Amino acid sequence: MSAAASEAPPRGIWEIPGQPRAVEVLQRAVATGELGHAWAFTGPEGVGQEHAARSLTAALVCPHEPAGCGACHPCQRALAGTHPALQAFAPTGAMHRVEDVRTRWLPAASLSAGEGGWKVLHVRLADRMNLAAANAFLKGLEEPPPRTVWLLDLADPDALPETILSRCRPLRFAALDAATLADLAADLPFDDEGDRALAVRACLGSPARLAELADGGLAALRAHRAVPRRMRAETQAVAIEEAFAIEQRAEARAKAAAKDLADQRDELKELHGGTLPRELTAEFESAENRRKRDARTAVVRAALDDLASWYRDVLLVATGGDPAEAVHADDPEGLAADAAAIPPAALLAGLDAILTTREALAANAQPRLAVEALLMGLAADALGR
Amino acid sequence: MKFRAERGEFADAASWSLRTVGARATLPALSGVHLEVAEDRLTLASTDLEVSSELSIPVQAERDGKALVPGRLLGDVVRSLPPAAVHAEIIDDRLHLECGRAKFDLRTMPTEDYPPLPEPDPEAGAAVMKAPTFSSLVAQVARAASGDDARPVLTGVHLEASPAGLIAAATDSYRLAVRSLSWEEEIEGTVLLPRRALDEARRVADSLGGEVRLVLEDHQVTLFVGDRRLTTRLIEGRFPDFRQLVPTGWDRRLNVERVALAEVVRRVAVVGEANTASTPVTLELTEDAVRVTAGSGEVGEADETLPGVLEGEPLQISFNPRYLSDGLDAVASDEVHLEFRDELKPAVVRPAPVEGEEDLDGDFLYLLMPVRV
Ligand SMILES: [Zn+2]
Repeated sequence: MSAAASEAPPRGIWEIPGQPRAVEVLQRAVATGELGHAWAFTGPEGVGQEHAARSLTAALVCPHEPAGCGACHPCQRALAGTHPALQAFAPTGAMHRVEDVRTRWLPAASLSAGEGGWKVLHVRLADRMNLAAANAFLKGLEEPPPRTVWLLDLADPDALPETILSRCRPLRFAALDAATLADLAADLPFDDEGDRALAVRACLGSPARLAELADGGLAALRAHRAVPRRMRAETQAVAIEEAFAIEQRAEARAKAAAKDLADQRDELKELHGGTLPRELTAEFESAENRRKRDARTAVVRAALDDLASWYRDVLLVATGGDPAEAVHADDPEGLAADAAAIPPAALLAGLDAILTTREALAANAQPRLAVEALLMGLAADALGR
Repeated sequence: MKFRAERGEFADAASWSLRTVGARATLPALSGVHLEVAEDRLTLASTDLEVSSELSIPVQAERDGKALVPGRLLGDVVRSLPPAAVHAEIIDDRLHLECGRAKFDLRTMPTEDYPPLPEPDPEAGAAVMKAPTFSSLVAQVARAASGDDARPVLTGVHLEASPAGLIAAATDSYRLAVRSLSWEEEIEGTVLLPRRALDEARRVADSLGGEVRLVLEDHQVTLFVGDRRLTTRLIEGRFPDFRQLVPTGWDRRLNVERVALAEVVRRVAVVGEANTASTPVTLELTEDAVRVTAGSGEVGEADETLPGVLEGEPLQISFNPRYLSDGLDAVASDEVHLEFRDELKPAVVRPAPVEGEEDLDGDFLYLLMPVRV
């Protein structure tokens, strides 16, 4: 243990921003020894589930009293996500596959606990299990080995069979509230306070999106919400331009994601003496496509979210609401202009079209065409044609 | 850390440590071999989180210390060194190696993510076997374990240790291998071991000889061979009650030359396998001969007869050829007994006892399910 680590007061292991209820339930489960075998972490992606998995691991593997001191070597590795008691499973391709369940998940569960005496098995994006994978996993849930806890991240619990859900204790992870997001935003680099406040409102409760806005700036968001105005002022060609621009950003993000992965792979390759072990080669190959697709989807989805929140705000203003309560409260003139130009029925139809396109994104191989078609449709509505 | 080691010993130790380095994207530190110098010994350790290994070699230590070094690189470098004394020293975060005129400089890795390696409890029950006994036991039994991860319990080797002896068993639900041996040791416990640790220990036992010490704990098992140690996590779950699978007697018993039957089965199976890999071979047993056949129809048929002595009524019975030859290969004796009830019940392969010769097989049986045709 380094001197610095023992001098600094340890951060409480349970300080998970914006999730006091989930924390309370987990803490009580650990304290009473009624942890059960499986938890369904329901709620939007990336609002503290990973943090909770690490905190729970720390609480289980810490040898001190009370457990979860936050300062010892086991606690620190648990919180860093490197303690062997915690194993995470991400989808290999677009989905979790039955082979993953058979060759990775179930053997991990059936091995006796190693260091720390526990196994915390965290299935990320667990709603991306196909039926065969779910059936294979169910067998593992039916005969849970001792001192083994499954954690399933579920943005969409309906995607899993009831037979699995009924064996998991549900735990709700809420979208982060404005105060929590403002706290997080305070530590992120924004150009000015106006941008910071807008990002907090426009990220719709997702800390990942908030960080992206801090990283990439708010120019794209401003371009998205200006689309109806620009289409009125210019031509429908704006739809094609903007769809193209969104695709460019999506490609750039996919490329960056692939590069991060390649850097990580090269680092591991060097550590393994110049040849990446076979199991890692396969892992990285399948991860690359998924990461690129996820990065692309995130960009397009964010663009559609920007448009949807703008349309909701315009509706709010059109129906006499207070623009100060809008997500896009920083642009009251823009809201008023669109509210005056687009009939309420067209706003509703537009919002509906945006959400439909967003839903279809995951399955869509050609997001640019879908976005272009959407924007063309919005233009037609917005111009009253 | 600063020491002088003998090159051959250092290279052997480094390459053995490599066998249990881990490959996890989220824990790159597992690719390292952990070096520690204390009291004129260098201890090398590694883990893939299932099996961990440790060994120590004598060195001349100038300065004690610890370091984590990329394992593959260390192994490659040490192997390439000329046969002379190796001088090693950690300066900042680099490991400097000098041997004759060769100089190498390797990066070390941060140790903060490296997990502490499991150690056996010195109070835990232990037993000692001769290395060849251990090797033959592993070779005989582990072959019956399943390769299918979907049922982890069947991928392991079941060990039942008591003060009187050891029983080892494995089954993939098509065949079962059981070997027992007697000893007088202070040990008690039942565990299910991943096959890998046993295979690794067998490799070491084969190359070093001597003795193997088995230490049983409820969550891990440790095998010491010479100055090398392997500790493995266990498979959890209930191993099938294999005793109730073993028939208590036989209605027919064949005494046959082991290698001759194995060769005939393999030859005949080639034709069957031209059809599909799982085409069975059929044994037709009569008073003084065994006829082995396989295949039918388009691709071809094979048919070969060899002598064998049958006690009991004639019988026709079919097997998966690979499972049958696996069972024959597991035995060392010249002759084997094959025991049968009928064509549907499991058959048992046992070494035929030979008066006055050293018993290499111990108390071994291999049970296999017949195939319905
Ligand atoms: Zn602690």
